[in-house]
Amino acid sequence: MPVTPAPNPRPDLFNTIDVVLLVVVMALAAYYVLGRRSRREAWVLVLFSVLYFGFYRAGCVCSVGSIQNVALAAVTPGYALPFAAGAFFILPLVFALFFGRVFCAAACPLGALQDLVLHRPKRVPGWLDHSLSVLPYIVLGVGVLLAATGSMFLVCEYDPFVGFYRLSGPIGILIFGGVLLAIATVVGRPYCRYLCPYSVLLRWCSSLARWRVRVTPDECVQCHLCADACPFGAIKPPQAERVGVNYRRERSSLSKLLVALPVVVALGAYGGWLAGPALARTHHAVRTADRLWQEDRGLVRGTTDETTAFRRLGEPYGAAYARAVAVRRQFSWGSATLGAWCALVIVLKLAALRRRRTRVDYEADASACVACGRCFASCPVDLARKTGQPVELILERRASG
Amino acid sequence: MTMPSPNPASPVGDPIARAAGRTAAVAGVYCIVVLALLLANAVASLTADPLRAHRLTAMQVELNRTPRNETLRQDLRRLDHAIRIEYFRGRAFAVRGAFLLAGGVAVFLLALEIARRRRGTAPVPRPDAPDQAWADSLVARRSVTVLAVGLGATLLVLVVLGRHDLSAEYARQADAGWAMPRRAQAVTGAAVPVVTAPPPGAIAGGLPPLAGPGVAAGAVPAALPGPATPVGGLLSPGGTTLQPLPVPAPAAGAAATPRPGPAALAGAPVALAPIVMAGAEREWPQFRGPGGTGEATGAAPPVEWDGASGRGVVWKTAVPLPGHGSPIVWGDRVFVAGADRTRREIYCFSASDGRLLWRRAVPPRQGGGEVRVFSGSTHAPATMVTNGRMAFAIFVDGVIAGVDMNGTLVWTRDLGPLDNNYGHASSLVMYGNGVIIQLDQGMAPEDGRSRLLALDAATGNTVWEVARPVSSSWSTPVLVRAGARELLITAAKPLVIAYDPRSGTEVWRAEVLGGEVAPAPTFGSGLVYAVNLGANLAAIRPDGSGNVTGTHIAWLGQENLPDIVSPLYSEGLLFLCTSDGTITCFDARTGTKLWEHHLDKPVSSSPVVAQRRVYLTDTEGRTIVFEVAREFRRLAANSLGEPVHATPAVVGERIFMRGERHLFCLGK
Repeated sequence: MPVTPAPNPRPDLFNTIDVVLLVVVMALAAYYVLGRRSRREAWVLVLFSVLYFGFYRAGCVCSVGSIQNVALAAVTPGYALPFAAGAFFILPLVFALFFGRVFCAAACPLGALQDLVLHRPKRVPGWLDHSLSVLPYIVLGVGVLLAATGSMFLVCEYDPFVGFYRLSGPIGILIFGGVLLAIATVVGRPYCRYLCPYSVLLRWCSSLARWRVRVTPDECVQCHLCADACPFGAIKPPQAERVGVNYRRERSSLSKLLVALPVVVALGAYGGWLAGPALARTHHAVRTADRLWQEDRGLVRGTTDETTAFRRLGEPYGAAYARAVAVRRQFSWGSATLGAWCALVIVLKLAALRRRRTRVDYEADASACVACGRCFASCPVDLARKTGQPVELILERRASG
Repeated sequence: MTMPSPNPASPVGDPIARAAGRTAAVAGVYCIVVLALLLANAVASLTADPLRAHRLTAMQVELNRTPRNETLRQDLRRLDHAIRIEYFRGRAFAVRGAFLLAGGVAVFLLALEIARRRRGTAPVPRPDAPDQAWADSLVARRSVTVLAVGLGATLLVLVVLGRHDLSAEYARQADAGWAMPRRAQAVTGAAVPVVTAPPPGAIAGGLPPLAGPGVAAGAVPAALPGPATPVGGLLSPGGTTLQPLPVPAPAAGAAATPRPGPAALAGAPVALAPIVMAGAEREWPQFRGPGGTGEATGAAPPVEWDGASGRGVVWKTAVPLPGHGSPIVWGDRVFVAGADRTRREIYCFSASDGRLLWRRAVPPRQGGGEVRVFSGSTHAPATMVTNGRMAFAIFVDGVIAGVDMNGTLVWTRDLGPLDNNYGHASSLVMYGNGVIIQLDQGMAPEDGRSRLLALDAATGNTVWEVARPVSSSWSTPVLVRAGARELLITAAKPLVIAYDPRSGTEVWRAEVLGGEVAPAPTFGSGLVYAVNLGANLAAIRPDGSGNVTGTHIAWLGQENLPDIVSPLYSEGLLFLCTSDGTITCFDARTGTKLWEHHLDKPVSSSPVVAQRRVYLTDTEGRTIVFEVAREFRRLAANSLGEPVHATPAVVGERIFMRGERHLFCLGK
């Protein structure tokens, strides 16, 4: 099994408590954000998550990392998926299917920390946002590959914020987390938007949600205030048919992309297959076998702790090489799948950028919205409904500063 | 930080905003100071890390060199203590600092947010805000394409790194020499020198036969009545090799029938056949029968019996001294050896009525310390061997004796003292007129204690002896005819080694085993199988030479590996049984697991097969009989009423089974 930088195991009772608290926090977040359309209580939940799931529980178990437990359990008969890891994996997705990303809104300690430091949000340029939004898919693919092959829990080992919650960690990771937090003061949730592998799954599920965040249940006055208030670029403005756009050429381009999709995916798979041996070196069995081979042939000097331990165990070298070869074969298949996955994501992203969209009102993007509720307070229509004041009066006051 | 409160329109000179701004400034400076202290502490901690303390390491090396230097020892302890205190002080400082920093950051952000809100202005409606979506998407196409190119370049680098990886040569060899996609292959590329046989008499100058009752040193007994086929194979004129055995006639039975080679394997399959002493085809002359594989050729043993009621028990005779060695049978004689701390004896029973025909005491070793025998074993764990003219027994302390069929002690030799944790337990094997002994010793292969010997059956003198680069083992070798070659297959940690049984010359070796190897190797389907818990079930093509680890491993398995019970091959199937009673059946050609069955009882006896029926006895004396089939089909379960550790002997319509106290003959 991969070595994870995880805190000590907890008794089952506490694991159950964690799961119950997760459900309670998500349910309350759904109630406050979707039912009462209030951010104030959701903010209290954010604080709670930082303190409990973050500092008290030391950031583990978390839903983001649980992807790896699930991946490992799916392909390793000898690995039993821990109850808490399974629950933390599936429950946020179930909630997202019904209520959108309420897990991100209040229960995720990683998102909560970034939310707390967000000070002067700036809009990320659309082209950059589009490009960076591909990265979580790739992180997801690599994380699943490494976990399923038993190499490492990449997402946990490079969790940028867990070091803060545990008040210690590798200096490199602490610096990485510090830089991300510094960015998070001006860019809303950079980790969640551009790195978090779990966000991929949440995006898929929340796009199907029936009761998700809507900027206003009434008529949109298209004041743009909600789009300005959203630090995550999740409010999509109205989009009309464009003059001067050659839609025929766009359709043709889109068709070519879709026709090329199988070829590109096959190329990605082949490239991944060839890259398998290099990626396999992330697995300790391969590293040990490689090192043994090098040491025995005088290609390197001295021994490592792993090779010394292996030699003292008295196992035959053949066993080490056999294990390494088996892992390499696993990686060949896994890397091919990863290559195909990356190619698929890229092509579909390029295809999505060619899709013809029309939108008449400002809408929260179901997949990107983290249900923070900031847009409610900014919406004059929502405020008018709550206060009974005319929308025009509110807009006039806003316009006059 | 984002506050849930509505945005107040505040004058620029708001005292709260001013106070918040100053607080933020102070908190910011505070955070910088704490951060600087933490970084300084982190740097200092690097030098205080006990694992990186070079001075400490140097002192430890020096102390290892001069272990009696008490001053150095005390200095080392003081330094170690000081470094540890410093290390944990640094850690405590870091934790406290982290808390202080977190508090400072919280105050800083909170103050900053309050100041921003008090000083800020409300957002202004922008109904005419420009729609950037389309323009963004146009640029994004290019940026995503650039990202894709970056990914492709990364992939290319990985491909190049993977293909130019010198350290992965073992993997490339595996890819080149392996046709089975499902299982891994073990590979090493080290060249292996071939061990040459030293001259005879190499053991301690040839120990003289021990004096004892019935010793007739140098006297070769006359041939006995009974199966009169002359024993094939004789000591060569030069006295350093054994002559090959004549090939038994094909009509002799299936045991001598070449076992088919796998068509699926790379290279021409090699037909394998057991090497059976002439005249022994229908006997049970050694551990696991005439071929040493557990196969009882032409036998039709009973399927059911009951020790308690006596049903199916032909006779039952007490064995004076205990032993886990299996019975061997030649004609009307059944031999077993027994021993305790002080006595060594060989017994001969009548196969027809169980009478004790004779018992012969074998002198124990002289002058050596008592051999340690663990609680579950005995002082006679090895199985005897006979060629129809003499019988040979080896005991736990390395004393070996040859007796004629009338019980006259012809010779004895002391191969000890042995460096073996559990004492010697490898059973004897005969090739020609030689008695072959796998005498593995030592904790590690590098100890250089292990040997393989062939003794002249008539005199006990060494015919050849070779050193073996393995550690202690308790496995019995097996003889196999592989095409035109005759091989003696041995299993120990870490090697399976095939020797030319005539001279002891190494033919090939495969590095596939580990642990304390006790299961004997076997063969079938063109492959040699060796197994041990904690290592592998290895299927090896026997047609190689030198180190075949990288070239002749057909497949490896790691599931349900035994540590005592030997594997059984029959009709393309391979059966394993773990010591806790899990029977597993594999397709012998591919290593595919077909089924497993749990006896839920410990097992140390090895299985035998006759009439397509496998007989496997657990330590409580219950023998389960199941069919040789690709699915588990139990035919019977019979209780002997006595614990059993020995492997049964199957001859004709009878089974000879050694219980803890009695020898049983089962049949009609």
